[in-house]
Amino acid sequence: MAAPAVGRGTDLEDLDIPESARWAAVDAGLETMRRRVGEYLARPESFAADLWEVDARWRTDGDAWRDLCAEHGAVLGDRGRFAELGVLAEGAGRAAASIPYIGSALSALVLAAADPSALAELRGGAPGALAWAGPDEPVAVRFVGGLLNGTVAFVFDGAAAEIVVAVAEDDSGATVLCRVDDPSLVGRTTRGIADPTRDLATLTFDAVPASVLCGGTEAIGLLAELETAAAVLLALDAFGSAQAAMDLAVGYAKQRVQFGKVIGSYQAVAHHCANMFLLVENARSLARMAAWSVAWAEPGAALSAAQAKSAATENAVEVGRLAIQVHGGIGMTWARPTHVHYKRAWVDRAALGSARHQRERITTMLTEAQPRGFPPMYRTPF
Amino acid sequence: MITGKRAEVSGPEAGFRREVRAWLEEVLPSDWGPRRRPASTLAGRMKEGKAWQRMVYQGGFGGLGLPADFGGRPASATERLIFAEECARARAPEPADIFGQFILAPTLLALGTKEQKERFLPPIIRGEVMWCETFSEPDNGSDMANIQCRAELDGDELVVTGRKRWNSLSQFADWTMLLCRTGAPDSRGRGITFALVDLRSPGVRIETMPMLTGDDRETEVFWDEVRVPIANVVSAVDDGWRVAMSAMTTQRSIGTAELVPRLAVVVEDLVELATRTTAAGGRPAIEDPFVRDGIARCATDVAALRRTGERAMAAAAMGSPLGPEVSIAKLHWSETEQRLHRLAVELLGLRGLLIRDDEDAVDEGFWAHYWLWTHALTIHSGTSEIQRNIIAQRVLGLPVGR
Repeated sequence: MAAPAVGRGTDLEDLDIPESARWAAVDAGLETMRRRVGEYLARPESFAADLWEVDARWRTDGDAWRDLCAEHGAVLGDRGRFAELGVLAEGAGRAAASIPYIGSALSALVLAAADPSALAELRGGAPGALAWAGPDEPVAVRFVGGLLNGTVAFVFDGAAAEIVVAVAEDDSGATVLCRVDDPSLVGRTTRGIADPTRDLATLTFDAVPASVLCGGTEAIGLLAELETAAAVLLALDAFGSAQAAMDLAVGYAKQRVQFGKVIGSYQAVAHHCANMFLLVENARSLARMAAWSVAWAEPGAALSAAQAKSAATENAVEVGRLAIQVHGGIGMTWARPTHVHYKRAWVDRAALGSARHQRERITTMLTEAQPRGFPPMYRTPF
Repeated sequence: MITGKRAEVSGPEAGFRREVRAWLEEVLPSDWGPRRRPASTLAGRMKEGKAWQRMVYQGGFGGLGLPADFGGRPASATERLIFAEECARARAPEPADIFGQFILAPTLLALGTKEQKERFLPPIIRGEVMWCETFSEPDNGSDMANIQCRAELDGDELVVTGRKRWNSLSQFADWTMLLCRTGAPDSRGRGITFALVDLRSPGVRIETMPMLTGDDRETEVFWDEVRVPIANVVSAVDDGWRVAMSAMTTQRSIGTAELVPRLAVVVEDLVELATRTTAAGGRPAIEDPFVRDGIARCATDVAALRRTGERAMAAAAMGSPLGPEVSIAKLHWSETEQRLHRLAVELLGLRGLLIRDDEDAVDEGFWAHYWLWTHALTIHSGTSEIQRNIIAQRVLGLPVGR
C-alpha cells in the first residue's frame, strides 16, 4: 500500500521520524475535519444558561447527528477509520454536544459484520445503543429461549436509541451479543444524571425478543474490542471537554479585573492555567495516539487505550475543577458552561471501565509475560 | 481521507537499531543487565561516565548528528532517538559530559565562529573533555538576567571577578560556559557576555557543596581576576543573553528525546522492584492496589511524555514551527521522575530510606539516592514555577505579572 499523504503533500516515508511517531504525522491530516466538525457543533457561551431556561436535562440533538452522519456516517463500524470517529468524539466533548455517537459507534462495531442493513441505518443517523454495563461490572442480562431478561443501569444514548444491541449471557454463562428485534419493547428510564448533556438511561428487558449476532470466542473477542473502543472514545470526549473548560477559564482570566489588574496576571491564577494546559496536552497526545492504534489494529492498542482513558479523563476532571476555581463565583452558575464540561468529564471517567479500572489493567499488562518481538521498555512497538 | 496502515519497520531504522544493539552487546560487560545500577558514589559515576563517552566515540557513535568536519557522525533525529533508546534499554552509563555534548555543542554549532567550532567541538565529540555551566549566582538563580559576576575588558582579554553557584559537577569538569556582566550592573539582558573558560585558569577556585543526597554534586566557583581571551566569547561581548537563551532552550528540550527512554526503563525497574519486594502483611508489593495504581499512573505519565515528544518530532519533520509541546516537556518530565522515585521509596517502607552506607540498603541505595536527587529536577534549568510562567505568558497569552 502506498504511504498515506500527510500535511502539505509530504510523503510519510520521507519524514525524519521514528516508526512510533507516524501517528502524529498522519494525525495532522485530520485538522480540516476537526475544524469543520468544531464549527458545526459550536455552541454559544450562553448555551448553559439556555439549557437551564428550557430544562436542565438531556435532550438528544437528533438533527445534528443526522447532519454529521450525512457526511461522516461511513466511519461508523469501520475500524480502519476509527481516528475519524475520534474526531467526532473530540468535537462532541469540546461542544458538550448531545449527539448519540457513543451508542451508535459501539453498536455499529457489533453490527458491522453481522447485520449490514442495521449498520446502514446507523450510518444514516438512526441513534443506536449498546446495553452493556462495561468491563468493570458483571453482565446482568440473560438471553434464554430467544428472550432477553435483565436491567442495565446506565446505557449511553439508551433513551434515544432506535437500534439496541445487548451484551448478555446465555444459560451456560457464555457471552452472546444480540440485537433487540423491536426496540419499543425495551423499558427505558431517563436518569437525572448531573451532566445535562448526556442521555444515560436505564434499560430494562422483560422477556424482550432478540436475535443473536455472535457468540462464543468471537463474542469475547468483540467485547474486548468494544472495551478498547469505548475507552478511546471517552478519552477523546474528555480531552475535548478539558480543552473547552481550559479555553473558558483562560479567556475569563484575561478579562476579569480585580485590584485593578486582570486576574490572569496574578501568578496563582496563571499557574492554575499552566497546569490546565499541561493536563490538556497530555490528554491530547494519549487520546489521539490511542485512536490511531485502534485504527491500525496495533498489538499495543489495548494498553494505549487504557492509558488514554485513565489519564485523559482524570486530567479532564482536574481541568474542570481548576477552571471553576479560576472563574470564582460565576463558575458555580449556569451563566458559564464550565461546570457542564466538568460534569461531562466525571461521566467520561466513571463510564464503561472507570479510570481506576483502566489503571488496574495497565499494571496487569505491564506485569504480563512479554509479547514476542516487543522491546521490553515501552511494552508497545517502536 | 487518510487510511494508511503503519508500514513495516523501514530498512534504515531497523538497520541502525541493529547496529547500535550489536555494539552495546559487544562493549558492555556480560553481567550488565536489568539489575545493573550506576556506581553508588558520585566519583564512581563520573569515572564510569568519562570512560563511557570515550567508548561511544571509539564505537563510531560520537557526535551523533554533528557534522563530520568536526569528527561527528551525521545522523537523523530518528537515529539519535534510537541511540538513546538502545542505550537506555541496555542500561548503558550516562556520559559525564552532558553539558558539552548536549548543550554547548548545539549552541556552538548555531552561534560559534569557525575557529571556535574547530577548536572546541572535536574534543567534545571524542569524549575527551568535560564541560560545566557557571550561570547562576548565590543571589541570582531564577532571575538569571540579573547576574553580577563582573568582567572588565582589558585589551583582548576579559578579567572576571565574582562568585557562581549551582555549577553541577564542575569539580570534575575541565572547561565551563560562563555568563558574566560586561555592561552596567542594571543592564540586565543587554550587558551579559557568554564566554568559554578553562577551569585551570589562575584565579579560579572551586568549592563543593554537600547536598541533601549526601553527594557534593553542586559547587561554588570563585573568580578572582581570571583572564579569559576575547576569542573565547561566543557571539559578541554584551550579546551573551541570546546565547544563554539558546543554550537553555536546548537544555530544556533534551527532555523528550533523551529522557523518555530512560524514564521508561525506570518504570520497568519499578515493576521489577515491586515484584521482588515484600510489603507489610507478607505479600508482594505488586499485589498492593495502592502500588498497582501508582505504577499505572507513572507508566501513563511516561507514555504521555513519549507521545507528546512524538508530536514535536512529527511537527519538526514536517517543517512546522515548534509548538507548545516543547514548553511542557521540562515541567512534565521532572515531576514524573519525582513521582516514580517517590513511589519506589514509599513501597519499600523504612528499608527504602536506607542509604548507600548501610549493608541492607536496597540496590546499594539506588532508589533512596535518586528519590532525594529528583527534588533538584523541579528546580534546575528553570524551576517548575518559571516553566509555568513561560506557559502562561508565551503559550496562553496571559499578561506578565510580578
